[in-house]
Amino acid sequence: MSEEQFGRRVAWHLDRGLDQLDQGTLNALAAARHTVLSRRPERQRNLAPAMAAAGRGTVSSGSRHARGRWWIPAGVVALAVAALVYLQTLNQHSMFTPNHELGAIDAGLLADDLPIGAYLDKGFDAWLEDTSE
Amino acid sequence: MERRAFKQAAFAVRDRHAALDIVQDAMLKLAEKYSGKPANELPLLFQRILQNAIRDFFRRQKVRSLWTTLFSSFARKGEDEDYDPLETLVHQGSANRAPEPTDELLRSQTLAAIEEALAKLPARQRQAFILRYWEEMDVAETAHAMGCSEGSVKTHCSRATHSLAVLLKAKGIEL
Repeated sequence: MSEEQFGRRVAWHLDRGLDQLDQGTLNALAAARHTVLSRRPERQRNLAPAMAAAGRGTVSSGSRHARGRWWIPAGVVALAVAALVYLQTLNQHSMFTPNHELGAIDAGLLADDLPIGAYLDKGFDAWLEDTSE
Repeated sequence: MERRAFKQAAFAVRDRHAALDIVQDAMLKLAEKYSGKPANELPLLFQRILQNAIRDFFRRQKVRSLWTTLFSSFARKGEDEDYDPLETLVHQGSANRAPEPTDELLRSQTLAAIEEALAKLPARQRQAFILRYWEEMDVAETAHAMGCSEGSVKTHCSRATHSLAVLLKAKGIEL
């Protein structure tokens, strides 16, 4: 018997031995796998099929395709987040625009009690400089 | 994957709980650090991580035994020497086995003899043999996983095969 054949026979017996592992060990290994899978970051969730294949050095083509497509949902989420941030910024910015506070500034001018927004308004500063000249 | 990894670790460290810890650590490292790697590189990476984890276990054990030697009593040391974890492994396997047909019993005995013989091999020989024939890696992959030359892998495998054959024959087992 060649070294190769002997090695294969031993491997065959060892493979059969895997089915004879006691339930406690199997449960512990399943728990370990569960722990590992639950601790992975979200972006690494595609590793599960690869980990299953790691023992035999093979991996299904499906998992490879899945790995390549991870950026599609991530891109959609990123675009949605960017749009929300942009809208929020616009909204906040518009709150400080003079158009929304013109009435308050006018009332403040008349009452000699300017709202704080008036001092942040560059147009108002320009107007003050113009009028003081 | 994890079952074979567990057996590999158990052959090396001869302690069920330590082997389970080693496998879990190796799986965690693979998932945390190398998930971005191409899938076909994962088996090799996992083997390297697993072998490193086994080496780390022995390093830690060496440090621990140094402290134990320094601080423990001689009586306790004597008890430790009497303990043979390999016997425990074999007994656990037999205790859980239900009565089976003759051929199944024969296979179980062969398996027990193989596992016992594997456990007796020098670590590097066992590692090379398992990676090469159980994990079905070629010589280059085995060399990469073990961090040695292809020539060393061939030598380790050849010696391991010879030793296993001798040990099994001594027990009256021929594959």
